[in-house]
Amino acid sequence: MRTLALLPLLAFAFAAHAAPSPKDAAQKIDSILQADWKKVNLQGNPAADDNTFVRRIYLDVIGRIPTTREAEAFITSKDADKRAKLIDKLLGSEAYVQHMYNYWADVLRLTSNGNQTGQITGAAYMNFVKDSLRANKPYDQFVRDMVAAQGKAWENGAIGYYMRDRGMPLDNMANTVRVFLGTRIECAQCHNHPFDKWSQMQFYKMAAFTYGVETQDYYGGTIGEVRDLLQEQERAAIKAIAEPKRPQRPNKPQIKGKMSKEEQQKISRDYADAVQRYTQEEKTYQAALKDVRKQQDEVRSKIRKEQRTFQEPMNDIRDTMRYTSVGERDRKVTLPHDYQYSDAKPKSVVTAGTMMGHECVTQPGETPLQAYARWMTSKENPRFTSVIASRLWKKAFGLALIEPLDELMDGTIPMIPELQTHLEGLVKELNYDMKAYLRVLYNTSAYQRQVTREEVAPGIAYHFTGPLLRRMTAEQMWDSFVTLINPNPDMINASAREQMEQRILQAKKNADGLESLSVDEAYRGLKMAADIYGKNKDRTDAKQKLYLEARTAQKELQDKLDAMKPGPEREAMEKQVAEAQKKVQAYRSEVNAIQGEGRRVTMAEVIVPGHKKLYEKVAGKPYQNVALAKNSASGSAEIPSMMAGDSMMMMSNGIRAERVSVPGYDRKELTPEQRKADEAKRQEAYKEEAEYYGIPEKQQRDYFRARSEQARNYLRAAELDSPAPRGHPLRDFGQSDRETIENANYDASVPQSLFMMNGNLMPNILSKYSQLMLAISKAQYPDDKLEAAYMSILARKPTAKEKEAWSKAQDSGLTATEDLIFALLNTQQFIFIQ
Amino acid sequence: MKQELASKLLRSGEITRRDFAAKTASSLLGVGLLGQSMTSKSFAAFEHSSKLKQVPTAKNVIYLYMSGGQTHLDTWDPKPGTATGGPTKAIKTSADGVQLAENLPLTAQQMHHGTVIRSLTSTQGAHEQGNYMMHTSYELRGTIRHPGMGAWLNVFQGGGNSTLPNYVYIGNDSRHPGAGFFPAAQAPLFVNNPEAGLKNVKIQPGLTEDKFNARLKLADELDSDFRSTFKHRNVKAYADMYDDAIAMMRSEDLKAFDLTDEAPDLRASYGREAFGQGCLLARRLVERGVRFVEVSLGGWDTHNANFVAVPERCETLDKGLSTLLSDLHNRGLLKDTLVVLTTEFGRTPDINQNVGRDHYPKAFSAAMWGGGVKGGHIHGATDAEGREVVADKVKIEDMNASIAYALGLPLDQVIYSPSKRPFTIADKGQPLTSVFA
Repeated sequence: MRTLALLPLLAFAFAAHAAPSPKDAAQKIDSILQADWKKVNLQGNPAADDNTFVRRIYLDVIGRIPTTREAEAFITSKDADKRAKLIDKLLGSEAYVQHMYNYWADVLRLTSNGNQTGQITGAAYMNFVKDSLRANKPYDQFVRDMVAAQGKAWENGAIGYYMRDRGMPLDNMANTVRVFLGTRIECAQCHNHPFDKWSQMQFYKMAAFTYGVETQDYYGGTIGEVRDLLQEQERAAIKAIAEPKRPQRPNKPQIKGKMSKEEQQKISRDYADAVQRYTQEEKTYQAALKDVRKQQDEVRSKIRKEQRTFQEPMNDIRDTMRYTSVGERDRKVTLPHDYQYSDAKPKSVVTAGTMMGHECVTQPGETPLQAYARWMTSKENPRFTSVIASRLWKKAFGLALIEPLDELMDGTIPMIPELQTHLEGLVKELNYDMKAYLRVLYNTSAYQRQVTREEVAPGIAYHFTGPLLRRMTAEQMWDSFVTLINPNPDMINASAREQMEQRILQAKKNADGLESLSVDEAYRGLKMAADIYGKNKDRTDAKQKLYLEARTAQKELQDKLDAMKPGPEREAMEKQVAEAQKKVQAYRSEVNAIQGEGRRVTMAEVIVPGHKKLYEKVAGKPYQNVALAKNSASGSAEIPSMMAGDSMMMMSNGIRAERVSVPGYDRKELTPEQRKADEAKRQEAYKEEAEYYGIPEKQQRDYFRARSEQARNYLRAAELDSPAPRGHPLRDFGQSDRETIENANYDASVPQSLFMMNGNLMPNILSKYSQLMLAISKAQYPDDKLEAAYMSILARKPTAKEKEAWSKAQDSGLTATEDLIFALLNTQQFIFIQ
Repeated sequence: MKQELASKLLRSGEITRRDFAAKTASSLLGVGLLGQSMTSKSFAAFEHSSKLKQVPTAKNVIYLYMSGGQTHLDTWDPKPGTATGGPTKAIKTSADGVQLAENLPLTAQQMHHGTVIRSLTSTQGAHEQGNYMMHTSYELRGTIRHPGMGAWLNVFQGGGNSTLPNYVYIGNDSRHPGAGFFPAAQAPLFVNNPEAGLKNVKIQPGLTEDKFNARLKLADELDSDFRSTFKHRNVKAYADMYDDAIAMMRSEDLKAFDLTDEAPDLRASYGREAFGQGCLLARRLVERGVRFVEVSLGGWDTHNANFVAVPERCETLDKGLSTLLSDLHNRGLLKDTLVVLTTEFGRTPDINQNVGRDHYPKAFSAAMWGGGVKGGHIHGATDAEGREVVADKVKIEDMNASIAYALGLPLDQVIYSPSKRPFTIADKGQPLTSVFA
């Protein structure tokens, strides 16, 4: 009651204040810190110089070291406000999106390529996170979008949040509570939490909110209707066998006192006769019924056997859009069979209830899931705000005021309580605008100080006299390598993005195409495929027999051959063995062909007709095969463009099918003009670089070629699959495998040093047109070259001592700049952020 | 030192993960810096874990994983003459009373060294879940990652006398639990191609050893200020890792990866496929003190044309496995080396529409050789059609408990994950003591 009364007041309080300017907000934080330092008799670290700052802010905000040009431009600028301006510029860049995406991919265990989430939803989920960051979607909205996500992958990529934990709704709940409410309840899944207050009942009450979220396979309407049709066929066939009529049991007559004795006797006799008749009839009936049931069973099993072959093409269809749909159904969670507490019986149904804060009440016009998402992300749910305030603070300073930030308990005391309270208030005041909050943090003088020299051991209170020294994340390492190679490291590789887009669109086309077919049309196509599948067994059996015979024959010949001495006879035998092998191979491919045929027919007779029907629906005119149309030389521009070369598309398992372009369902083909314009833009950028680095006119073509290759081979981490495949340097440097929350690691390992010393990175960094080598070549004198190398790798000039070390090394035979670069990249200061 | 650490870890409730990780910093593959503490609290949940211990019968394990779900009916548990058995015949083996499917003629000659387990049963019928369960004894969960057996071995007993990592995985399957919740240092070294050797262990072509050393010396000098300013453990760890990496580059043990060292005949009899060469590499690693090597062979997901695909897969398996066993035996290594063969589940006795077999976790097989295991033995049985286990049911946990038992690992020792959840090796599985000689 009390909380309710307070609500309007709070809302008013938020509305009354306009968001403070980043400078003022930063100063406020600094003053809280200074008061704290005074109390504990500490001083802030010395201010960081421009060199340290520029490297740090690039790594922190956009996830890579600055290029030589970028570092120099900042350092030489005389603008008094240059730091704030750089922060703004970086926060506004696409590279910020890429860097923050890497962060969230680790928190959300985002897999873009297969596994639980599936390829299609994985790609869509990745896009959802990037789009949200690009739009700077408020954090609470971002979370609501995920927690209340419903729909198809191509409509709503946020469904990846549930698909990621497909089939594990209880684990999903534990993850949700940990990631967004900073609270660990996974222990309470099996028993009351041993270290915290949560009961198993509370866990199940929370789980009840999302237990109805359905993440299983895709069953579109049309396919569902075909299934109904098949069931109807079965029912009808069974119904056609008429059941015998059941005889009626005679009613026991009532004998009333008024009746005469004769009357009474007659009634009794009649009744006895009726019962006897009935018994006889019932016997006949039962026998007839048994017969009918038997007939029905026979019909049923015959039909089911026929229909079983339908399962195969239906699976083919499902395979093309597996795990792309999240819906909600009425499913109740029940307590486990071994529930051991007295407040409820094992296996009893649990109704939803919140574990903390206020109640969750579904309002008119919202689904229970939306209400739950609203509850979770509410400003009145303190832990929700606490976690994000801590997360982003930790991103800037290397440590949160509450550690671990996702293990909150009632007794948790932040390292500097006033500051934590203030930060949470600030996040609310900014309405969860993540960029605005980060802007404030990066503008604090506390952030712009030198890092603390000492290591802060866990459990020791830290007073944030400056940021902490951190090892780069795997993504920061990789993106910094990309920066040393690529003079324009943030340039987007559009084709990689389009591939993802195409993956999603293809599934949408398949699904909408299927929905465009009538049940009869779908049934017809499925039946054709089912017939092929139906014959598969006999055909495979026959070929398999031949295959096995051929194999035995080949083995026998091989044994003979092995026993033979060299000579003409052996040569003849060798030929025979080769012949026999060919035969085995031939049968093998015949078996393979049979196996692929059903799927091919499913594609050709269901999926492709669906695409055509969809085309007609979208375009409002009949679909024409362009290859044919072209022959008739119509040449009309309205006919969908389709080149003979790509008239087939690749479906799953290497099966090819006719490609039908549907407007709005295919990646927009660029017009030649657009293509030209894109290329011109790229060339212009390259040209500008070439001029900056002083590449002579006649070498420029060479340069452009090298640049295109770089852009292809060295993509930033966020443009690659998540996680990168095992064996990729990203994984060696500790990129999360996305199996558990925040699973990235920062440990040294032997594969890392081996990669740095001996891997294929060094030759690429040392190639003529790498950003680093261009910067070094641009410098004229040896001293300048040394400075350029330092500026590129560490964003600073060498110290006198370092210059001396280098000149001493030169005396002992290390003469080339390559030697210096190798040494600098293999220092620890390269991989740490100061 | 690792032994000492493990015992401290087990004894004390106070040891922290950071402490734990710092102590293992000198281990080869990395240092952990996980800021979580491991606390000890007794749990009734562990009442049922096995207290059985024995003097270890095996020092090493070579674990052969048949990825995709190997058909039991056409390999270890043939049912000739029945409808479910299909056209697969049975053959005699070198052990009296033990028959295998005709697809494994060479392995049949090695069965006097081992035991076939025909009564495995699992509840996991999907690949990912089945694979995970077989490797960890736990169900796949979204909130935790459980360790593989090699990681448990590392934590409890540490490595052999090798500069090589103690836990190696040879294969291409991307699904492997690795170190689970243990520090990354306990993860296996992944080798994709057994013939390609280790990545990045040779200095760049054109670079002389002298120059390489001079460059590293220069790096060291250029970094001295940084290192003396920031005396952080992870900074130091990086310096140490360079030493370890260089030690590894110069290690004699690296020769393990040079398979051309072997007699061509022997190399050929392992089979030219990656699996056979992986088995050979496994033997070479074990010889040099690596204690847990997994070699994986895929392609067992025979939903289609089972009787065409299985003989082909078996040919590869048969060459690699039989040569591995005889080679280990000839070198006197088999008595200390437990060779285990498992898979995520068996395949349906009923032959489907595509003359294939589908997933079947209810009853399937595994096998073990050497390492103290009885020779010519069969444990458990299925019914005449291979549908149901009818004797000595073996759960996945029991299977893994048996491996741990052979290695002398404590099955009842509770270890806490960083999220403070308690776990034991093989999740309360009971070892099959009767399969040990």
